[in-house]
Amino acid sequence: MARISSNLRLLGNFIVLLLGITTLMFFALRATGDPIIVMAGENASAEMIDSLRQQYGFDQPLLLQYVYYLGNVLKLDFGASLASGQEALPYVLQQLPATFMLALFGMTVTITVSVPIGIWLGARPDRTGPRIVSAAVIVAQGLPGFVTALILIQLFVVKLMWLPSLGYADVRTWILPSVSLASFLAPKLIRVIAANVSESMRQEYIRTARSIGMSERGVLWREAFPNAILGTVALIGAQFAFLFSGAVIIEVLFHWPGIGLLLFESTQSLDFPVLQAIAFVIAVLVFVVNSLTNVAFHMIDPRVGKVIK
Amino acid sequence: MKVAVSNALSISADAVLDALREATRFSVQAVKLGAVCILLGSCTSSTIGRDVLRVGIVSLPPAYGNPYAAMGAPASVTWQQLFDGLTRIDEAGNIVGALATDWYLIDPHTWHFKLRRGVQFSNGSPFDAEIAKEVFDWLLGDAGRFTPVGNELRDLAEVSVLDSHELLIRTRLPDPILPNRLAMVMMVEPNEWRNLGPKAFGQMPVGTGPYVLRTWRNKNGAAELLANGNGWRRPHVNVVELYPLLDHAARFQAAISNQLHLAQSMKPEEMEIFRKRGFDVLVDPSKQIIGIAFDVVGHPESPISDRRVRQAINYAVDRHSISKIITYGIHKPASQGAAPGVFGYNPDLEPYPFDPAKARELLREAGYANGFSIKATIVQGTYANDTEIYQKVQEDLADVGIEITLVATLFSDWIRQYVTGEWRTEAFSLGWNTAPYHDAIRPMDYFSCGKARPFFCDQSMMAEIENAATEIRSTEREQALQKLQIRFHDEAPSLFLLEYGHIWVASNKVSGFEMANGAPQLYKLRYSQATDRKVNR
Repeated sequence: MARISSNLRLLGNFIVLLLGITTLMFFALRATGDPIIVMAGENASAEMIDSLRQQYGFDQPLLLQYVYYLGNVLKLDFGASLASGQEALPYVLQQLPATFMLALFGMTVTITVSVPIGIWLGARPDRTGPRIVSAAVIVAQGLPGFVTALILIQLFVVKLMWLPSLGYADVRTWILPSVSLASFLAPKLIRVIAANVSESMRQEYIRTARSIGMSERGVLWREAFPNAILGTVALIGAQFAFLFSGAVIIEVLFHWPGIGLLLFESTQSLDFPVLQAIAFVIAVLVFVVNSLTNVAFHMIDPRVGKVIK
Repeated sequence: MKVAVSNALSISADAVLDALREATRFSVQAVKLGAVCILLGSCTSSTIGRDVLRVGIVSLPPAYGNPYAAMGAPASVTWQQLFDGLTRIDEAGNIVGALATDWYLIDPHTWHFKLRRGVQFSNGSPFDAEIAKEVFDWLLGDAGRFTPVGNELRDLAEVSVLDSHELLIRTRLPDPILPNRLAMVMMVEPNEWRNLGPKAFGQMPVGTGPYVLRTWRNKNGAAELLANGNGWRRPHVNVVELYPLLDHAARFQAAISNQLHLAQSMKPEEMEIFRKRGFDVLVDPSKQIIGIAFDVVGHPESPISDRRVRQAINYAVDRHSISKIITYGIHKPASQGAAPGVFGYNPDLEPYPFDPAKARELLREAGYANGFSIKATIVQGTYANDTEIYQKVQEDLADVGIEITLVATLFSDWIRQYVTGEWRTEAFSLGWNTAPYHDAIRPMDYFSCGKARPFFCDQSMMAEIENAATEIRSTEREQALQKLQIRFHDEAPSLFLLEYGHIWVASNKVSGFEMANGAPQLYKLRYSQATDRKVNR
């Protein structure tokens, strides 16, 4: 019963969040410019602009436009793209698999790199090697992902010509965007894993495990690491959610035809319906990923539910 | 209402489910493919191994394959591959036949066009005079006349069919550049247009061009075009990928790393880098003059309302240095509102010389010996290195006592001010654009009282402008335009800066690269060698 009530509260919050985002997008976008004038072009007559306004419903008072818009959002209808003429929501959803794939690759590389390095750093934080690597990780954390992407493109695409950088039809195009995303996400994850492992290694049960003769490797992997996972899962969830909205520059630099590239292109053409649909889809995705992270939390440590309760 | 909501929800739910299904399928395939590739050591894309010509462009057209949704470049780069007009402007800037083979004036208001025989649309249906009339009728009708292309045909009175391949076009006023205008009126397959409507037609256009669309976005994020088997010109390369790479860095890196065969809008300083790597570099004169216009109508109290001040600004700017240093000599100093090769260009006019002393003298005469301050709205990124150009202008004007504050804005804000005529600043970036007609009358019209909500209006010039717009006799018309160039030069409604050109680069793996009216003639391109078909893939 308590869980149902908690879920209902969560759903209620989500609906309020969606309403807030759709409202904000509606008014913020209209403050950025007039898409009808951009569509009509430099030589448009006043009559032509009026006709287009009427055609796209921009001739109505703003509040009335907002009411129509909300009514349509309830029907999941964001209207047709001003640029391509396609229905906005299905158009955005068409780009979703590519973004999902990029997020999946980025997270796979991030986790693959971060877990062993984080554990190694956390297990022996006072030794010289881990200290040097820790410093390097902190420096790497300050480097924006797009800078790394540009460096990687310059090196592997322009200079060495080993890898292509456009689209995702060729498997080799997956490498650089994934590595670029990982270069941005991994340092934070490494530091969290290292801190959690280091903290776990100082607990009583570790001393007990050692005292009963468990090997150091066993202590690390069977005792310390599982206990360090919890905080890490939260961060992985947050990072995965970030990738749906935050990989815009990477998608643009690598011409990866996902939601980020569409967002960039739609911003240029003031394609309001598509931008509104993108904001909506990203909000839903972030909610879903966060909910899944919560479920993972419960599965890993059932005590979490009790704490919430 | 309930039924509508339920239908909408079920449609949207289907779309969501489809996307999820696709994402899952996609990820599973990706993992499988990745594993196979790792095992085999290499992988190729769906288009690799086929003859694919890769072209990096700035953007795809607005409304994609609806050719009436915009005028000129960059949209024409794509549309010229899919469609034809009755006429076209060739590589040398001359007006030549496309779907029409011949035309002449019957009287000052009536043109007779003979159409090409044996032309088919990509879906196999024939092109004839009835179809051309249907296209014109749509553009002149309620829906079409509010499109950018329909708006350009507002002086067309009537189109009638003489026989299956002959048309008569009547205009309300004599229109000497009608054949030039018709180069922008692409012929669409009317059954598809009628049945689908402009939006859906834009997704899957049907034209007579050398290529036909396969998809607007393939897995490389490119528009994929295939050779049109029914076309009246057979391209040498069967598959073209057009990559819309708005970000300059992405376009440059893709080109220099040989991932593209052709790339648009490179910067002057990159030309040498490309040449050293064996690329062909082609500067396509865009028929635009970079300039900063003065809002004399909106700011009558401003110093710029005085002709001497506007001339002083022109004398104060060292456009030769700008040309040499910022554009590496590629974009020449401009003397007037047209570039060489444009009909109505006056070869006798010289650019304002760089003469700060003369500028100060004119300012003194106008009562501004101590200088003044103005603001100019600029859109950065319209031209290569335009920010540096505007900064140099700012620096030169400061030397004669004119403090000009550059107010950078977005194109969407700029165009709103341009269309409404409500300029917040005394000056604004505006080119003299003679494209796509290659005729000097076009910018003269918008630098005059003829523009709706004008920014510069000299009534004494209107009779001359109207005469030049309607004079049918070619020699007389050219002379009228050249005389007007002198008037505009002296009135200085803008700071004339440089003759702009778009820089294209072509990999040495292709030959036969030609530009016509701002668009590459892709159907003429060939691979240099059979072994060179693949690019960095």
